Amino acid sequence: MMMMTDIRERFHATDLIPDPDLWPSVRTRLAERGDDPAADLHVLRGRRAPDQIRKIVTIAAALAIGVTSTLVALPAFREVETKDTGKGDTTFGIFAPARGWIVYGRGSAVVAFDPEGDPDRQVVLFRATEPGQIRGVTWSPDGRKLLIIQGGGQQRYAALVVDANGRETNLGRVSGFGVQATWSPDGKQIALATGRGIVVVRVVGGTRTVLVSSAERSAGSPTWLPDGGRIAFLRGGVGDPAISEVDVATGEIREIFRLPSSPRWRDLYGLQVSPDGSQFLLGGCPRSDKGAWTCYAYVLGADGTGYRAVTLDHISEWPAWSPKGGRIVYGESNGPRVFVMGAAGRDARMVSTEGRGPFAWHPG
Amino acid sequence: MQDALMAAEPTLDLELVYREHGGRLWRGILLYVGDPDVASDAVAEAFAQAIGRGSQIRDPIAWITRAAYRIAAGDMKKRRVEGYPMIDRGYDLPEPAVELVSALAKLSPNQRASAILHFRDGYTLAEVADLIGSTTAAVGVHLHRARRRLRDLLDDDDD
Repeated sequence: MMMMTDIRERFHATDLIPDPDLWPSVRTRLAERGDDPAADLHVLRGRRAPDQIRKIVTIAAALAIGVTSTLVALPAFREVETKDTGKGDTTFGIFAPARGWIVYGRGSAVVAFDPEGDPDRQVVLFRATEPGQIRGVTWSPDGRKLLIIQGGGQQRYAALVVDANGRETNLGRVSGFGVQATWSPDGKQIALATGRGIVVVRVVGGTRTVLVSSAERSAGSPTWLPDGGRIAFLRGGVGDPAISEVDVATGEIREIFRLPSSPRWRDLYGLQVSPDGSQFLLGGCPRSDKGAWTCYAYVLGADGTGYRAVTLDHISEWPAWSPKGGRIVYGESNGPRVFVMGAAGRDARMVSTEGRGPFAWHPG
Repeated sequence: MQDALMAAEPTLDLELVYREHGGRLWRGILLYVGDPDVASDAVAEAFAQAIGRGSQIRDPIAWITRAAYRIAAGDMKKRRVEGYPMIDRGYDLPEPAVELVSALAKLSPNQRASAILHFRDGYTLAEVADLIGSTTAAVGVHLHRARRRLRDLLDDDDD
């Protein structure tokens, strides 16, 4: 029934391909080089020497102490204290520490850090009761709810909405790689990129509508435009990507911008419209002439003009807008650090020593 | 020299690794590059390098797999291999594998490597990223597109 199963089964057939005995070739290569094959038997047999074990224990202990001191784990559902501060502010129950903070998924927890605070301080906002890695987090427009995409097996994910009181609403399971979600501006609906295409789900009731079929040239990465009537999304396969929009009421699709058909513009993901609707932000991992993948954040105008990379100094992943669109948060591809820069790509600074995207910046 | 190699027990240990995993690795590389000569060179070279490094390698299987994929990718570029020779030259394949191999030929190399390592060998996204020198996000994109492309080419059902 599942594509995954079919692919795995089909790959079993390749086990029938006869393989040559390459060991003589290995020996010949060694002989030609005069390599000394003496090696540590502990290592080669999968065991570690006593001094290595001691070193690992020491490192593990140091890491455990470090994590304990930097990760402040809050209860998943602590008592809600909602009060008016007299300034029009409201304390948002379990999300109180998250106002203006940036969140991401780590394991089965949603972790937050303050981009203006101590880069070593992390707070666990929510811990899912079910196992599975959290692959995506998205704040509702009012910052009172959090949509969580949590992975199970076989590329099937649970879509979960958690409110400020810790109440969970399960929107059911979705399938597909690169699951990405976006809230409607009124917070009543969510659009998801799934194996079926772009699906719109009502937060109350969970009614699902397939708005753009997956047959539409690999439609994915939806972002709800501020007018509420349209959803922009990435479409197209390798070498032929485009940004399109679909009318939520009619399902009519219009291409906004076709990107150059070049390896440089391949593997785009994570499309996000800016809060004022004037620009798009997205990530891309083109392969360089030297064969290495390098990930950048790109910004372009809502009409498709001015397409440019905004991260050159830092290889970046999962860029996301700040609430007002003046800044962009992104993670290092080859390291755990998180950076924030201006929307023009300048003044990048490290805001967290640890964090893996996708990131979501609380509306504040 | 041959005697010296025969006397070296670590070589024999890696020979056991080869006997157990070499064939599957070779088939994976073959599916990746589509060229049996490149696959054979890459796997033999990866094992030879692993033996040469001895105790520097903590996880021989992961190290050899990573090395073989990178050697194969470099070799394809060096030889200026274009297309997917296994299909272009009519390589003799077992009948049940023909359709999948033909479909794999139509994927980009990145998608192909990701699909083989994930769907066939069961590596996680992070592991695939590590093995092919990419990022988790990029591998997710490769797999997403590979899955859809294979679905279209193989006419499989999705949920």
